[in-house]
Amino acid sequence: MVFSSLVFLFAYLPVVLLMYYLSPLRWRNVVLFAVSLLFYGWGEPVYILLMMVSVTSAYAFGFLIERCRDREPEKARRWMLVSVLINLSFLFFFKYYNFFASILRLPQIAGLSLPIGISFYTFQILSYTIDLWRGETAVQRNYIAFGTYVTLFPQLIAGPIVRYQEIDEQLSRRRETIEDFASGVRRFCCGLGKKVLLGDTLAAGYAYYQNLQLFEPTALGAWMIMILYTLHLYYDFSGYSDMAIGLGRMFGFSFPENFNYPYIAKSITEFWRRWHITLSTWFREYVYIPLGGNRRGKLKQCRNIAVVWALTGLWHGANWNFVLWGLYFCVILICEHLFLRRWLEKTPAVFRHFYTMLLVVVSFLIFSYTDLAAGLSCFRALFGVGTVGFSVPVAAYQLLRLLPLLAIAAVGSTPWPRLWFARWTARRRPARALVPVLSAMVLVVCVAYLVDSTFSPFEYLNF
Amino acid sequence: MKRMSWITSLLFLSILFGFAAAFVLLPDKSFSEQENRGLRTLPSFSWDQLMSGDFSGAVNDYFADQFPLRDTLVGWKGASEIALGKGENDGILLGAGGQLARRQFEMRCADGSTLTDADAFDPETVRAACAGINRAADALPCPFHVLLTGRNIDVAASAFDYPTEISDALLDSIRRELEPSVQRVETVSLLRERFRAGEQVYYKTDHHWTTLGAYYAYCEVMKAYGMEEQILPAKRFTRQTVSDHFYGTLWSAGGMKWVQPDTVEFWLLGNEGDFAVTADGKPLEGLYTRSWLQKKDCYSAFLDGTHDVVTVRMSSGEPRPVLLLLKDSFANSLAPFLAQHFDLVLLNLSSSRADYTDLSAAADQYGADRVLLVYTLENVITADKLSRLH
Repeated sequence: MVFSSLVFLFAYLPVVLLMYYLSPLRWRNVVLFAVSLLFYGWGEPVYILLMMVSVTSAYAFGFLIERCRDREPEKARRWMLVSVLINLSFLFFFKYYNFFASILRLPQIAGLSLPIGISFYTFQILSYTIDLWRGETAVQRNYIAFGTYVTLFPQLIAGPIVRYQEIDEQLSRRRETIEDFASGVRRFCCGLGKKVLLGDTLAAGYAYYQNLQLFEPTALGAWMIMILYTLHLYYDFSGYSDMAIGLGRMFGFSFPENFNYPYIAKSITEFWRRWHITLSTWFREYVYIPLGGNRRGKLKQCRNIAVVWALTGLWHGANWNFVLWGLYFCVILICEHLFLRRWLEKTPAVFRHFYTMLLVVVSFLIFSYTDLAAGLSCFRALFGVGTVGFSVPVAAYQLLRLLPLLAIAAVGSTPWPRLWFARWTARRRPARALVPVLSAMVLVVCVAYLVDSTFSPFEYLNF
Repeated sequence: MKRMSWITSLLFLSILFGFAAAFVLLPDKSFSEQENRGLRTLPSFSWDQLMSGDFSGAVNDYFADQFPLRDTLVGWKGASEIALGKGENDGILLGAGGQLARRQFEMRCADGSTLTDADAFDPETVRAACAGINRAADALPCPFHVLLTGRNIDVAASAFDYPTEISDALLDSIRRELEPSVQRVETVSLLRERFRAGEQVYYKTDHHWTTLGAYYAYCEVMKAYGMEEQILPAKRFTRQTVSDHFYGTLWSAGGMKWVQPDTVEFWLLGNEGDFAVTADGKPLEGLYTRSWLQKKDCYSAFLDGTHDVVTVRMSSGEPRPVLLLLKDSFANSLAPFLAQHFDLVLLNLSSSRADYTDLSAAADQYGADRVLLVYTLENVITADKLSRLH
């Protein structure tokens, strides 16, 4: 199930809210666990089984790790590795087996479909096992609480990736307040609007130009594809994260932020501190720092960056373009680290911003084309190679028609609208009464868009 | 602050629970008048369907179709798309004077796949369609004419700032691909001129031509037949407005509910009672079935809408030359004019039940003296029937 569906909004969510708030406190995790499994199984019920095996094994190994942690650290380490390997093997099998089999010329397995969200929840499970082994958290004795952590429906299928230690307390002791609930509502409506009103309509524009390129490839078309995709991906994914964080608050949870206006970044290093923050944090905590981080000299640090980015690339999908995508960022980040950042700091902010966005747009070109040849021909079309010209009349017509949407999307990806609104309402207190009305209006308009469209899936569900 | 939080939360919850309750309480509808299509109802549950994920997809569709205030919400979405300056909603353009036109078609590619979000056409599909027409022309023993009717986007071009390059390229490529020996009745550029001059030759809310547009086409057919002097002048007809509330297919698909309806005219000579009309073997009340005018789909009043085989003869039994029309729905409003000169047999080329692609056999079976293909450009690029003609 996805948040931007009528079934979720008007069947699942009302029932879950009722069940949750009518239950006594100690039953609330049971409710969340049960409804989260239903949420997960709605599209592909078979994978509930896989999820239960993952949860149960990590839960059980937790006791073994804790028992040996103080007296037999070597044994604890072994149990930790076993638990990690079990969960990674599921991820590897479903996500990567066919990819590596094709490289190694092993027989492929037909009909192997990726369980939704496996990359996200596997990483959450790993964070528990590793945190526990490091002694940064206590063992979770309550199976329901642990199951709730892994399957919690707001962040189950597309993040944010919540590390266990960030939420440990809240699993057993959390207070739901009306302020939190209202803030969750605002955040959810905002995310829904970002996803449905901007993300999906940008995606429609993207699909239009993609099809046009098949018959009349133009440079303008290629640029529009890249710009629309870049904006679409931000609204699709950050809208999802907003909805997840908002839903979490409605149930008394506080999830970490996942985006911080990535498109205002002035370097790629900064971009990655603002984009999909919980994934970068995960890799930093569990890969980069354990490898030595930046404490063992430049050479080792470059190696560590390379390892993290090879893995980040692969995390996004079992395909060569994702490997290339990771490599691309790896090279840029190492360059920035070694010398580029110092140079950039001497240039005007406008240039730094342009430099960053250009590299980001090109990175999403690599990202969006799983077929490398098609990606290359789009890349060449950006410079007019292999096109019928710079533009054709329909391509220009469509650009004009999309301009207002593009302008709204571009401005909306900066912190300005939020600042303006805050400044405006600070001076006029009664204007704050607009906030509930605006949230409700966004919700209703989104419903209108959902009623008129058949489906709006999430880009990041495939990862 | 606390009060504001309560307001926010209660407003949100009342929308959620309000729609949910209305959804449960309101009875399901099986048909949408406004959209002119069947609505999906609650899917029956089966474990197999659940496991394959089909069930959840079907429930999603069911929710969208039966959602409370669906028509109103669809209208709001249309309004907001227009307000955003897109000039269109769901692939339907909104032009001057409330003129609608579809720009994006479910385009058929040469390999049989379809492409929905494109306003291009596949040159291979057009080539195959023209090859079919060429084959049929070679095989037919009697005179054969081809009348490919325009889409709104081709004819009503001047109502939009949308470029005509794709229309023109499509017409060019058809012109190129058809053998010079195939006799074409050209109407698109003529009607485009008429439309620019301010005549309503196509409906604003429907993809068909109006009776006036059909009359112009009739004149062109008669000229192509060398029967110019037999053309009935427009002033001989009594133009009767039979409906002023026609909301056509584009209105249904475009979600722009504020667009005003069309009027429908019958052009009458007074001799309409002299014709015996049958549809799929059963007699009709005549060239027009007036009961359709009370429903949404007023265009179906012409020859009673969609049938596989329709015949028009003189009730007196007086024999006249037989004109076989291989056609889609555009021919329905053209037929009353042609019926003044010929006995008609109309075969529905778009039929999903019957296959009329063997044109020679059909001409033989119905003793046709002439054959006329009346088929819209939309079907040329979205269907494969023409490519199978022989």
